[in-house]
Amino acid sequence: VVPGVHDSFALGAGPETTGLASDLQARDAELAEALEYQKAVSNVLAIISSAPAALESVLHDITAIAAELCEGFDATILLREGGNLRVGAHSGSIPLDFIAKPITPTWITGRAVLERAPVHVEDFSVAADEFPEGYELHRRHGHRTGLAIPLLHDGEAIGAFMIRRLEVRPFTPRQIAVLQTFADQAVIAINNATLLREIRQRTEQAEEALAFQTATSRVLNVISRSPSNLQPVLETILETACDLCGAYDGIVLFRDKDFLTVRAHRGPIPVDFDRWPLSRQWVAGRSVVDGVPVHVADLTAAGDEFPQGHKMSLRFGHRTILAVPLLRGKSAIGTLVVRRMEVRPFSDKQVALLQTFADQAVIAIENVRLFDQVQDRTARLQEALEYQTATSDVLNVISRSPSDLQPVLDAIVKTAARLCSAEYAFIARYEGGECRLAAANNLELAHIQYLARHPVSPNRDSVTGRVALEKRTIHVPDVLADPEFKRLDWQEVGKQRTVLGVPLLREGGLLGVIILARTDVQPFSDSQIELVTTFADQAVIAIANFELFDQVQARTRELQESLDYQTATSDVLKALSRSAFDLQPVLDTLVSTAVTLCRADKGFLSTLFEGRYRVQAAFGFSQEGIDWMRQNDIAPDQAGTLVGRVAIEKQAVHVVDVTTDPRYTWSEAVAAVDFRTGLGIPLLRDGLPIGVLSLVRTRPEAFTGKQIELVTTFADQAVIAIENARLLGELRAQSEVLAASVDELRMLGETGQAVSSTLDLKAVIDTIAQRSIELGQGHGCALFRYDRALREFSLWRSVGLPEADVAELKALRIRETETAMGRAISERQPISIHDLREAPSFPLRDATLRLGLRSVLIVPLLRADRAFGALVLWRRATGPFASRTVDVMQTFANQSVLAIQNARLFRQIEEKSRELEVASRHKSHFLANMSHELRTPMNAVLGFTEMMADGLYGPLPEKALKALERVQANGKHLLDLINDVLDLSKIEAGQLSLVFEDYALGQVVQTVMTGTESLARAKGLSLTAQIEDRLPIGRGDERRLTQVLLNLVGNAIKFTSEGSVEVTARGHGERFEIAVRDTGPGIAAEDQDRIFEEFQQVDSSSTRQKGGSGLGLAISKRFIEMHGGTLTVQSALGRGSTFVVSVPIRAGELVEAA
Amino acid sequence: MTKRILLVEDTEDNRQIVRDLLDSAGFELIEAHDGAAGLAMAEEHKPDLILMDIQLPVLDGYETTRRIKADPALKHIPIIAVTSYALSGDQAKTRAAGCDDYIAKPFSPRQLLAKINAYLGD
Repeated sequence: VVPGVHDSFALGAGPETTGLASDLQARDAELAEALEYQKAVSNVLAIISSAPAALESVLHDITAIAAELCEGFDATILLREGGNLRVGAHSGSIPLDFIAKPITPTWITGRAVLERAPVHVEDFSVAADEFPEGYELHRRHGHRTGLAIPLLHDGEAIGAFMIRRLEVRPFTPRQIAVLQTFADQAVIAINNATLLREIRQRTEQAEEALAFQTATSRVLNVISRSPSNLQPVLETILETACDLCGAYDGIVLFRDKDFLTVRAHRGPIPVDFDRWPLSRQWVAGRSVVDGVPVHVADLTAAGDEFPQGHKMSLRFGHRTILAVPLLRGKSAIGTLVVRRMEVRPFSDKQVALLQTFADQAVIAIENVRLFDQVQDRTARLQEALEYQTATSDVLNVISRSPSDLQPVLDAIVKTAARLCSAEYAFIARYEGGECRLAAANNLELAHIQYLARHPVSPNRDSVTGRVALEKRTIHVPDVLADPEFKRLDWQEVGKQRTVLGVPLLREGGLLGVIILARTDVQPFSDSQIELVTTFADQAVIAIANFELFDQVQARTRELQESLDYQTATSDVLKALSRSAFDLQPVLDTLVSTAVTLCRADKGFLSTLFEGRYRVQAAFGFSQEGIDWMRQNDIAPDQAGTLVGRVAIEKQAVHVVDVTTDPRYTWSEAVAAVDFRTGLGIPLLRDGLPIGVLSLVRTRPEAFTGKQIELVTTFADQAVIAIENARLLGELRAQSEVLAASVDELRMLGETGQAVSSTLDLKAVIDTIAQRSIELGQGHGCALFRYDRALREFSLWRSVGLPEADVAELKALRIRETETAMGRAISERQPISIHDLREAPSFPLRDATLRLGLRSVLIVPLLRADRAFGALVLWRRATGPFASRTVDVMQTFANQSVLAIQNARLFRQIEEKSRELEVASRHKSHFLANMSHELRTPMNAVLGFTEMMADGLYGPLPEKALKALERVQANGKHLLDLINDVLDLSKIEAGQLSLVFEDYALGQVVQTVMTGTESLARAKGLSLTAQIEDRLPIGRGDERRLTQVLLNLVGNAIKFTSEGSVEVTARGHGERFEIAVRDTGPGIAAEDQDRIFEEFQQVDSSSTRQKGGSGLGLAISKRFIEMHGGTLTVQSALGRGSTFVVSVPIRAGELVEAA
Repeated sequence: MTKRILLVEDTEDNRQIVRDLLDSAGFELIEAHDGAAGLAMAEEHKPDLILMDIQLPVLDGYETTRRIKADPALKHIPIIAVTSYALSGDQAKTRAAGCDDYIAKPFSPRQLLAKINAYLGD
C-alpha cells in the first residue's frame, strides 16, 4: 500500500464535453513527456557505460537527472551499510544534514528498504504519527512531499532512491515509474562498480600469487640443479627474497656453535664481520636463539633491546630489519636477514614469504649435507665391502678346513698381498725361539730356500725379528734407509724395500709373524695396516682352531658317553612323566636302563613293604629267578645279603665277587639267581632306605666309578618316582573327596536357586526330590503332606517310583500311627530305617517293600510349631545312611518348607491383586457410565432453565428470575462435579491420555486471564499476569494445561475476598514455571498435602461456602504429573497462597520417548 | 423461506427443548425418535440441517450419519452430532462417521442456536 498516491491521469482527465482538441493537446503533452523521459534514461545509460568505475559520479548524475526530470527539489541515493542507510549521492536544493541513518520504519526511506516497496508521502506536515523521523526532517528542512523507492537486487534492498518536493504535490505514476527505472539503473551501476572492484582485487591477488610462485619455483630450480653446491642456491634465495620483499639487502648466516657465520650476502649495505657471537643482542642472533622471526621497524630506536644491532645500524645506516630463522626440526641452523635503509616495516605477506625462502634454504642445506654424507658413506662402504669380502673369504677357508691349517695360512697371505698391493707376503711360525716359514705368497724359490736355511731370531736386525722381539706391528718404509736393518743378504734375495710386519699374538704369547713387502719404496696406508692386523687375528684364530681341533675330538668322545647317559636319564624321566599315575612302568624302565647302561646282566629294585624288602621290578631274570626272589623277602637286618647290607649301611655296596667276599653269606641266593658281582644302591628318603636298586653280573667284573655314579642317579629318580606316585595317590583321593563336596554344593545351590526362582511349587519339589536321589544315592524320593486335622499323611509328589505304583500310593490314607513319619514329626528329627523288612507291617511299608526298596530316611518338614509333612528317601540296599546324606536331606527339607510357604504367600497375593483389579475396573466403568447417565437429565435441567431465563417462555417476575439463577448455578456446579468425577475415573483407569502439541505459554495464560477476568472484577480483586518476554514454544497438552491454570486462578479468586491474584509465567532452565499468587486466607502447613487429595478442601464448610467439587486440585496435580511436572503450594495462614506449576518445556517429547 | 431442521433424538425432554428453541427462532422442525426413522425422514423431507443424537435405539447416530452421508442425494445436508458421550475420542468418532459438527450434552440452547445459524444463517 502506498499511502497518498493518486492517479494523476484519472484526475487530469477532463469531462466528456472537453472535446477532441483538448484530447489531442493532452496526447501531445504526454508524448513530449514520454520523449523527455526516454532521453533522460538513455543519458543515464550512457553515463553508466562510459564510466563504470566512478560510481559516485554516476550516482550523482542519476540524482541530478532524476531531480530535474521529475520536478523534485532534490534527489538522494542512499546505500545500505549494515543497519544504516548512508548517503551515496545527493543533488538538489534541500539540505541533507546526515551522512547515515538507521533503517527504521519511522522515515520513508527506512520503511521503503524494510518493506522493499515504494513509499510515497503526500504531505509530511500531517504524517507525524506515521513517520515521526521523517516529520522531524520536514520540520528542519521544510519539504512536504516525498517518495522513496528501494534499490532492489535479487529481492534484497541494497539502498533506496529518495526524492522530495518543497510543496505539496504528489508524484505522478509516470514519474514514479521513471524513478523506478532510475533506481534500477542505480542498482546496475552499483553492481557494475562492485563487480569491477572485485575483478581488480582478484587480478591483483592473482598477479601477486604468480610473482611468488615464479620466485619460489626459481629457487627450487636452483636447488635441484645444484644438489651438491649450496652457494648458488643461497645467492638465488637472497636475490629473489630481496626482489619480492622490496629489500635492498639480504644476508644468510649459519650457526657455527656459539657464532653466526656469514654465508651469503647481497646488497649495498656493508657487513663488516665474518662471524659474530650468537646472542639475543642483535636481530639475527635473537631469531636463531628464539627460533622465531624477529622484525624491527626502526633499529636506530631499538637500542635498549638490541644493543649490538643498534651499533651496526649506526655504522651502516639500515633502519628496518627482518630476520627469519632457518629451522631444522625445532632448532635454528641459521637465519635469513633482509634490511632496508628507510623505516618501512615488512608486510605480513612479505614475512610469510621470507619464511618460505628460509624453509627452502633449509631444504637446500639438508640436500647438500645429505649428498655429502651419501658420497662419503658410499666410498667407505665400498672399502668396507672389499675388506669384508676378503675377510669372509679367509673365514670361509677356515671353516672349510678345520683340521688343516695350511690352506688357511695360504689364503691369508695371498689375500693380504693382493688387497694391500704387496709384492709378496709370508707367515712365519714362532716355535722354539725361532721364526720359520709357514706359508708364503709369490715368494721366489730362492727366497723360500733362504728362509728355510735362516730361521729368524727375535732381534732388531730384520723386520721379522723386530716384530717377534717387540710383539707389535712394525712398518719400515725403506729397509735400506733403516739404520737398524742389518740383513742385506736377505734383502738381496727378497729385494724388499718397504716392509710391514704384524705379530700373531694369542693372550700376549707370540705365535708367529706376517710380513708384507714391496720391492719399491711405497709405504702402506693406515687402512692397509689395519687390514693386515685383521688377517693376523684370523691367522691366530686359525692356529688356535687347529690346536683346539685335537682337544675337541678327545672331548667329543667323552661327550658321546655322557650323552648316552643323558639320553638314558631322560628316557627314565620321560617314563616318569608319561606314567605319573602308574609307578610300575617307571621302575621297570629304571631297572632295565640301569642294567643296559652299566653293562650288568640283571638288575632288580626292592622296596620296603610292611618291614621287609620285596622285589618290585626286575630285569634280565628268568621267571623262576623272579619267583624265588619274591618268596624270599629280605629283612632290613640281614647283613649277609646285598640288600640287607645296603639297608644297614645306607650307602652303595659293591661286592666284586660274592664267592670271595667274606661278608656275603647268602649262598642260596647265589645258587638261585646265578651272579658273581653285585652292586646295591639305597633309595633314600629323608635319610631312610625305602628301597634298594641292585645290579648283578654273572661273571666277576667290577663296576666303574662312573657306572656306580649313574646307578646312584637312577636310585634318586626311583625315589622321586615312588614319592610322586604316593603324593599323586593322596592328591587323587583328596580331589575325589573335594569333587564330591563340590558336586553336593552345586546341587544344593541349584536347588536353592530353583526354590527362589520359580513359584511353581511342584517344579521346586520335583527338583528337590531329584537332587535328593542323586546326592543320597537313593532310588526314590517323595514328599508326603500331613493333614493336622485328620492326623494323616498322603503322598503328594514323588520321583523315581513307577507311575502305576505312585497312583496306588497316592490313594493310601496313612495314619500317623502307622508310619515312622509320625514319629519323625513328633520327635522333630530325621529317622532312618536300615532294613524295612524288620519294621512292623503297615500298608505304606508293605507297598514300598513290594517296589524293592529296603531302607528309608525320613526328614520331617517343620516350621515353628507346625508340621507340613515329610521328605522321604528310599534305597534298594539295606544299611545306614551317611551323616552327610542326612545333613543334605535336612537342608532339602528346609528348602521344601520355604518353597511351600512361598507358594502359599504368592497364591494369596495373586488372588488379592486379581480381586483388586476387578474392583478397580468395575469402579471406573461405573463412574464413566454414571457420568454419562447423569448428563442426559442435566441437559434438560440446564436447557430449560436457560431458555426460561432468556425469556423464551415469556417474561418472568424478578423473584422467579432470581430463583432460576440459583437453579442454573447449582446445575452448573453439579455438572462440574460430574465432569471432574469422570476425568478422575478416566485418569485412574488409564484411559485419559494427553495430546501433545506445540503451544505458546503466553497464549495459554492470556486465555486463562480472559476467562477469569469477570470473576475477579465481580469480587473487586486485581488480577494481573506477568509473562516473560521471548518464552520458547512449549510442547504439551494445551487444553489440559489451560484447565489446570483455570482451576488454580479460579480457586485463587474464589478463596480471596480482597487484594489481588497475580500470575507469573517464566522459563527456568528446561522448565516453565507458572506461579499463581493470591492474598487469600492461606493454608496451614498441616493441610498443604491434603488439599491435593480427592474431595478435600481445607474444611468442608468452605466447600459449601465457595462451591467446587474438591476434585480440581487432585485432577490438576495428575495432569501436571502426566506432563512430567510438579504442582506445589507455598502458603501460611494469613499470608496468602502461591501455587507453582513446573512443567518441562518440551514435555511431550520426554513422555513420548519414554 | 423457512429452513427445515430434522431432530433425531429419543428423549422427549430434550426434544421439547429443541422444539421450543427452534420454534421461537422461526425454524421448521421435524422429529424422529430413532435412527431408522431419522434416515427415512431425511430421505423423505430433505431437511436443511440434521441434529443427530448418538445414543439411539434401532440404529445409532454413527450408523445413521454414515448412511445419510453415503446417499448422494443427502450427503450435502450438514449434520450436527449432539451427544452426552464425553469419553476421549468421541468427537473424532463423530467426524469419522461423517458429522459436520459436534456439540456435547448438556448444551447451552444459546450455543446450539449459534451453531445452527452458522450453517443456515444468511
